[in-house]
Amino acid sequence: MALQTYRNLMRRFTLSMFFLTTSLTLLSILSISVGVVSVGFKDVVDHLLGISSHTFLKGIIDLRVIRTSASVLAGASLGVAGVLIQGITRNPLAEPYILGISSTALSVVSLALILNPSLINSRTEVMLYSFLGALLGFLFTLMLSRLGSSGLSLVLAGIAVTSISSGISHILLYLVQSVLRIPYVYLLMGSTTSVLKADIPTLTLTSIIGISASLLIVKSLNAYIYGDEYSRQLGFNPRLTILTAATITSILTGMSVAVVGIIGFVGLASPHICRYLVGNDHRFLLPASALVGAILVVLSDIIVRAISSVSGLGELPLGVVTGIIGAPFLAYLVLKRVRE
Amino acid sequence: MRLAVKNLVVEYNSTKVLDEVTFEVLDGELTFVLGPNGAGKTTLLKAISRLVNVVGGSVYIDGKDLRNYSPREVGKAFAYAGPQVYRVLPSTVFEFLLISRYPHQNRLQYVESLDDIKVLDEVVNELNIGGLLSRKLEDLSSGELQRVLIARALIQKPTILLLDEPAAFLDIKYRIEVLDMIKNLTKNRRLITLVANHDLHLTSLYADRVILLDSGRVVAVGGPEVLTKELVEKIFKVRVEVLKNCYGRNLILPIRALD
Ligand SMILES: Nc1ncnc2c1ncn2[C@@H]1O[C@H](COP(=O)(O)OP(=O)(O)OP(=O)(O)O)[C@@H](O)[C@H]1O
Ligand SMILES: [Mg+2]
Repeated sequence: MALQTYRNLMRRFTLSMFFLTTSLTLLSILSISVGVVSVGFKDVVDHLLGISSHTFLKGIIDLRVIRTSASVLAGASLGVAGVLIQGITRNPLAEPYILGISSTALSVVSLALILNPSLINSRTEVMLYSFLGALLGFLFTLMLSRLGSSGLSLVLAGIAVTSISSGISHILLYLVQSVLRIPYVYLLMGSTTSVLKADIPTLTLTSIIGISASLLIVKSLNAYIYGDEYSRQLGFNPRLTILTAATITSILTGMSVAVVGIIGFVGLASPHICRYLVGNDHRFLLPASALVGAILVVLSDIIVRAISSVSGLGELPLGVVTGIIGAPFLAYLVLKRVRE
Repeated sequence: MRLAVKNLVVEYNSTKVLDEVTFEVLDGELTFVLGPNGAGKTTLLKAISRLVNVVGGSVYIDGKDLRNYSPREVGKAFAYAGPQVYRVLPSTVFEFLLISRYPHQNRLQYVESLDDIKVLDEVVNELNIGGLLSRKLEDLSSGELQRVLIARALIQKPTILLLDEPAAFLDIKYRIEVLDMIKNLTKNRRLITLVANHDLHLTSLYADRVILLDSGRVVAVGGPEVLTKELVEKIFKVRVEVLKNCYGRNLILPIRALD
């Protein structure tokens, strides 16, 4: 009986991972082929395998590889961060930005830009400021919540930090716009258009470190979600679980905000899609959510470019697309809760 | 094996909830912690398994101070089944039961061993919850949840089993089945079992030993015969009748409230 249930669980996980990996691969290739100049599937694969060396295509493909990699990494980070934050808050409606990360990142970046407009030429420095801002926001939240004494205090502190700093960041961004004339919607709603080749290694490194670290605390999370008592009596320290998971969340989210801006709903929707696919055990949920997060962002990035190439207008921010996909999802979750 | 509790003191917001609690229990005995609401029964079980902070006193297992145990060793030795579990995040009964094997696994072990699943399966069959494994924790009835909570503690395979109101929501058949099972397990596997409850009748039916608590103090410790009519009436403020059943056990029947 139990053995059968266990086997089913494993089978569901294996099948889902296979299905998700395949989908992500196909979508990534599609993402490289779609755009103002569309490249055939075969050309993409040939280029990636190094068989063909058409120089005109190579330039286009290289640019799109960078965009696609950024989407995959940012999406995976957000997917994992979403699972972590829902776990430590024991709240299925929590998402990573709840920790007060995104708006503090924006505030710090805008402040830096106002003080030194020439900063805009160095993306690496902007990224650095954004990341520092995200960590700063997280530290504020952590201190306000009395060092993460509970998941709920963390959420409340996060909401406080967010509401203070989002007001500030809007004002600052408005000022930045008058100084620099860049459309700040991209920063606010996310975009991969400005990602550079040099960003990819940093993004890869933080994603890998963050995601691997999160795999080390899956069991303590599994115990923690049922209550501190369960965590303690199974030999874990609930406080340490909260702190570790929140730190990983802020690093993953902070880095993704720094590189592609704020992409809403992925951190919320991805864990739920995975709960449906592989169940709620964090050992399975985390890797699956990394893949689904990546799929969602790559898909949104494809849609953004497809719309732009058809309409001939500029690209929509990614957050708009994930919002349109994600909003009905949130509504569904809330309604389900209300009905219960 | 011997569990010794010496001068245990617990405070919440600097009011004493447990005051110099001292007693000893042996393995193989089913011990009931009895007392009115707010007497400190739950706090006592949690203090023993280090789930709440202790201000003074200590707990010894065979003379070894619990403070010398690592959190993992505590996890292997004790299992506490309380009435509470967070069920806001979705999760199935099976996923919930799996966590109980963690103290017995390597920290980085990612999948369960066949043995883990076997232990789980045995307990699941004993408590007749096989049909609930794939159900959502949040959808269970109170009685079903109660059996799942007890199962979780048993799957942890502790040597010291702490059950907080294990029968509160069970119907009469399950109440008898579950308590019989706990009594047998305690005797056959030589467990130290503490059951906290305020049910006089149930206690008189099953207890090998009784610890009577009132306002955080131990009022009486010993065999079920320590529950005399006078003492029980004074502590619980109810009129009771004490009858002998056919096995020669004293049964306590509550009659009416005293004022
Ligand atoms: N976390 C807490 N903070 C403050 N006071 C508490 C806390 N937990 C318990 N208490 C108080 O400690 C006393 C003992 O509580 P405890 O839960 O141990 O009683 P109990 O004997 O289990 O009662 P019941 O039969 O109602 O379960 C009560 O007066 C209770 O109000
Ligand atoms: Mg109690």
